[in-house]
Amino acid sequence: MTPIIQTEALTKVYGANGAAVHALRGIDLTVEKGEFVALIGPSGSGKSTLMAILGCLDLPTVGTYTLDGRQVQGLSGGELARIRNEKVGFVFQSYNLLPRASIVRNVELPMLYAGVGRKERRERALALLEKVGIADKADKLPATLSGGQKQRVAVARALANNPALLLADEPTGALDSKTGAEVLDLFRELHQQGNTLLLVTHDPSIAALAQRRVEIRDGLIAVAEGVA
Amino acid sequence: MNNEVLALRSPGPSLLNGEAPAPAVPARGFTGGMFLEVIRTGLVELWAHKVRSLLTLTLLMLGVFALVVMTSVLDGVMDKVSTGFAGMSWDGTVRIAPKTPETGEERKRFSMSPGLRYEDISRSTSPNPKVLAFLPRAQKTVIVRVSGDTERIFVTGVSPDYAQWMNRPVGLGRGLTEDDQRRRSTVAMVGATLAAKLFGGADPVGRDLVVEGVPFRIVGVQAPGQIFNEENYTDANGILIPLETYMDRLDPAHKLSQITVKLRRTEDMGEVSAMLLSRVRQAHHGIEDAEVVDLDAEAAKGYQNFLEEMRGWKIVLLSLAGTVLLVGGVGVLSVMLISFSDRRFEIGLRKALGASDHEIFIQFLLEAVVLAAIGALLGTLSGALLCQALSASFPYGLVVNPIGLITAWIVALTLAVVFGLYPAFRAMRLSPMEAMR
Repeated sequence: MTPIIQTEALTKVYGANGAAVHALRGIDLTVEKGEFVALIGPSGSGKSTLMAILGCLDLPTVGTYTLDGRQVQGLSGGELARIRNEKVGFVFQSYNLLPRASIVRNVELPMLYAGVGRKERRERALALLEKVGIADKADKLPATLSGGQKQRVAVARALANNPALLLADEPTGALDSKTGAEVLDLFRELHQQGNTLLLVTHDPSIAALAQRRVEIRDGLIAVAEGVA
Repeated sequence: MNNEVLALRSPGPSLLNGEAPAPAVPARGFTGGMFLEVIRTGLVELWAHKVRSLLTLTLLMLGVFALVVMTSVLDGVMDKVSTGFAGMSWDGTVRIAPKTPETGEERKRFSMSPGLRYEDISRSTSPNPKVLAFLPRAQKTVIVRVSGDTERIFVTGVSPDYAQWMNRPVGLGRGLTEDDQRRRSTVAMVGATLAAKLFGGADPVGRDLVVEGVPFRIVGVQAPGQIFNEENYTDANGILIPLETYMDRLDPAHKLSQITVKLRRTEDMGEVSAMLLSRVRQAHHGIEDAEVVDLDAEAAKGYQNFLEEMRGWKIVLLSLAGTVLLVGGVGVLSVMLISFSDRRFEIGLRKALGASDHEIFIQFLLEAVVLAAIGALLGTLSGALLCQALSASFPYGLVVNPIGLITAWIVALTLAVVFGLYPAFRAMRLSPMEAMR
């Protein structure tokens, strides 16, 4: 079976010769379908850069990256946008909902860019909100929701186009421990249903929930533990 | 919490199930749904920043408003003046009028001539196939007394066909007739302005007006018209009476102020003028104390001057409106640039969620166009309202000039696109990574 993520000698260099910063120095990482992987590492380790490349927000300087069978390096901006739209579901630390759009419109957004019709968009968005347990807030604005509820909306949005990879960047970083635990339960649930999850965190206790932990340090994979 | 997680396991279309086949993604591009979403987002953004949007809207609105109102008013003025020139009835017309002596020599010579008199009419106006009508006119200013007030009015003696040829329609009662002329009746037709002044709203027909001791019976009132020359003015502010009555009762010297000659064809003007001059000279013992004025040419010259003046005004007014619109366009630029930096994050997020560069570009450009369209719409509405309010003072009302309207919209939307391009371009080039950092 093709792995969801496969990288070879992934390298990212920022800046020019003299002041070049080597954010990634050759990452070989494979994530199989249905895996739950935690990406850990201190700030400045290259964790965020790796996350951006895996999420197709950025391209590697050197090396190859294949996402769900598609070569990513060398793609144009438009093609990258399309891959993000179809294959990646993002969950951010700060939820990143559009403040002036209703909850259901926020969830519809990725489908809008996928060209899904209005009626189907609405139906699927409502079904997703139902699944994450906040269907009753569909017409509310994000500001009226609690942090945990906002993160649920973000998860619903991430699932909108049924992506191959769910990419969560410190999804509980802005939540108190109780609501954080609830959101993590939601992720575990998603994993059990077969979704492929990559969770970026600096918190070992959260990383412990994953099947596999990959630690990044100075742009390299330092420790990899758990079942591959 | 547990209930919510349980909900995830509920049967039905498993949207959360990673094994489910990926939904068929239709061909991408800028879809109609996206168009509506963009318009909607644009409106929401405008509404969220009311003051900022309002400032820009106001400028664009004023520009469109100015263009619409100015072109319409210019139209109205053109209409008004054109009807006015037509109302003078100076087409194909010459006039014989006493000449003012220019030198002492001339004054001495002219004094030996009897001048332009009633008796000249029969001598100088013998029927001519090239002439439609000879319209003699004699005029003086008198003081009349009406219900205790005194009023200075013009009394003009004219022939019965004067009203018809000079386009002075009857508003109330009747006009002067050949019967009045034959009988030398003491009847008068009052000008509209004078009638209003003397009798207020009351019907003056049947009342008497005493002029130099002679009571004149008012038989009709002229319809109100535009004042475009001295004759319009004196007719509106005086009375018209039969020329014969005038000569008998008011002027023993039988002086004429002019004879207006209506020609069948304008081309005959030179020939007829020469003929008229020679006849008058003959009647005046060889003294050339009258001249022939080509009113057609005078009117044409006046109209030409007017058109030139209007062209000047047009340029001034349109430049003003254009400047306001341009400032509005710069306003669009600044609003969109502020909007761009305010919404860097949103742009990044939309891109992360799959919006392509050109979709973001179109979104920003469309928002600028929406902004301009609202401004143009408000400008159009307020302009149309003002035109309606002003329409009473124009002969054919004041209709919104369609060319002005279309031009205003095209200019407003073009400016929005031109000034929206730069912010849209910047939004397009923004990398999602950079924007969301």
